[in-house]
Amino acid sequence: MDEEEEMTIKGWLFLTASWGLVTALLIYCFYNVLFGKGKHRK
Amino acid sequence: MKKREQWGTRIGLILAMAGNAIGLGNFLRFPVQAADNGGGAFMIPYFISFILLGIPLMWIEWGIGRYGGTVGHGTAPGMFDALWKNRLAKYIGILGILLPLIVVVYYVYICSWTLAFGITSIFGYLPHPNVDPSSITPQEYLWPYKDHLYQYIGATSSGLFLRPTPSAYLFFIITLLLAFRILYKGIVGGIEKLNKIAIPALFLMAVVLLIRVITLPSPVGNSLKALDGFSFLWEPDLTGLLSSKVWLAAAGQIFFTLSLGMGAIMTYASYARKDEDIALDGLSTASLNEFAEVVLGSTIAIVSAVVFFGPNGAKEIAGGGAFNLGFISMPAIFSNMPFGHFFGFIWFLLLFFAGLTSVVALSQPAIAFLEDEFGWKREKSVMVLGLAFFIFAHVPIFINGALDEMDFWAGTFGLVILALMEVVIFFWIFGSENGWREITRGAHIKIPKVFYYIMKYVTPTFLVVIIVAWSYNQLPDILSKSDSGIWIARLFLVTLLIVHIVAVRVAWTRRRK
Repeated sequence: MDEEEEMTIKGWLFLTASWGLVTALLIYCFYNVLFGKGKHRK
Repeated sequence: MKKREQWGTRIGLILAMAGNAIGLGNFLRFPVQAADNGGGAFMIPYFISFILLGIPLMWIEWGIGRYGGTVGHGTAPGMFDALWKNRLAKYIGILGILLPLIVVVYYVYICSWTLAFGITSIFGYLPHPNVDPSSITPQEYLWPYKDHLYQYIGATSSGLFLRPTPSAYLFFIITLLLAFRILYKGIVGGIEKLNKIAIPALFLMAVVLLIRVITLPSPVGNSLKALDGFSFLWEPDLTGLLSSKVWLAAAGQIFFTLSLGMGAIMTYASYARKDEDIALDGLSTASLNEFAEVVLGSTIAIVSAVVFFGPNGAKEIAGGGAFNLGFISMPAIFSNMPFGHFFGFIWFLLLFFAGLTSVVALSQPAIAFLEDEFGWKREKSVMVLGLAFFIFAHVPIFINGALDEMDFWAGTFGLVILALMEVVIFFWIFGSENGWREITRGAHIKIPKVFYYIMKYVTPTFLVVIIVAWSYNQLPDILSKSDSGIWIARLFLVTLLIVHIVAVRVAWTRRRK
């Protein structure tokens, strides 16, 4: 079995940026869908 | 104009659209693509494609669909005909029924594998070799699982015919019956209800599996852990950004994951209310899909493969493709963990829900076509198409090589062509101002004006580049194949195309009378 490699700062940066972006988009969208000021039905 | 069904709730519409987008590819194709194309660096072209291609096309398809619904058309032939007063328009729109129909013919079969593997997993019928994983190579360890899959789908011989097991055929029939039972019940009672249950359940199961993967100890007794899996997937290889292959892979992944150019989004959107906020609903659908793919899909299969087989073993598994990861590597991993039968069941049930919601979405355009253009009742449309799909599915089930051939023409090449037609007809022929007004009508969020220019200039250019690159890279290989099975598949595709052309011609002739 091969040896493990530590994740570098760059790796963490790409992971957190990618997860952060899609999570932020999800929260933004569903906040607006559920609590938005529009007259739209839920 | 005949009164058409409408979605019962906004959440129901968003979940149904998410169910269309979220498929097996989110959990199997994405991690393989990312691992093969620069790891974390893959996300740069991925997100750029998402902004320049994914979101604009998503809004355009929602816009065309809602517009089509208001003039009584649920499929692309009628929608394109309404947008472009040209006799050619309805024939170009055939792609919006033909492509999803071809894809669903083989996708329903693949979806049935997940149901079968889930049930065999919970009852402990998947292979369980009593060997120490550290004493043999990953290939040796995976061999019984690979053999199990190949035996199941009858891919062990190289002749014209595949010989799937009777249970593979039985599960295909069960899955098809289930999908058409849901479709029979209609938009609100069938499709919306399914997605309101399946999508939350899918997310819940994915989170359970994610937690299990993060806490997974390596069975080979060394210090490999989940963090090494994250390192394997996310450590960026920035040199890949200079490769056109990586950019094309990212653009292709965005296309597949959002189910763009398939016709299904337009059909689903045609059941939206005329003042529906499609800008926010479309973005919400994309956000659900991206969360399922980038957070959940990236973690489960590939990270557990690294913990279990080490980085080199995981690389080989990823190189073997999405099916290798989902149907060979994952059962092997589950067989070697406490409560593995249960987690294996959860994994395949998750894939089954992802697949079933897509099967239902891809079947709907053909049903809508018969209802809207021929005036058939839904029940009759569903029964006739269910029978047709059952007959058609025998081609990919029994003919060697047919599935891949159909996947290339309908599930890869065809959808980029349809997407380009959508942009040209909606934003250039119908008019950019009209198209933009249609997309932003009823919008609660303000779409930045820059997307107007992206939709008008950048997205179509991007699509042309993809078509040229794929034609150059893939067409010569595809066209050079000349096995009997490939020719049977091509004959089948051409026959379906002719049937669709005749059907559209008959429908429009009847309407004129």
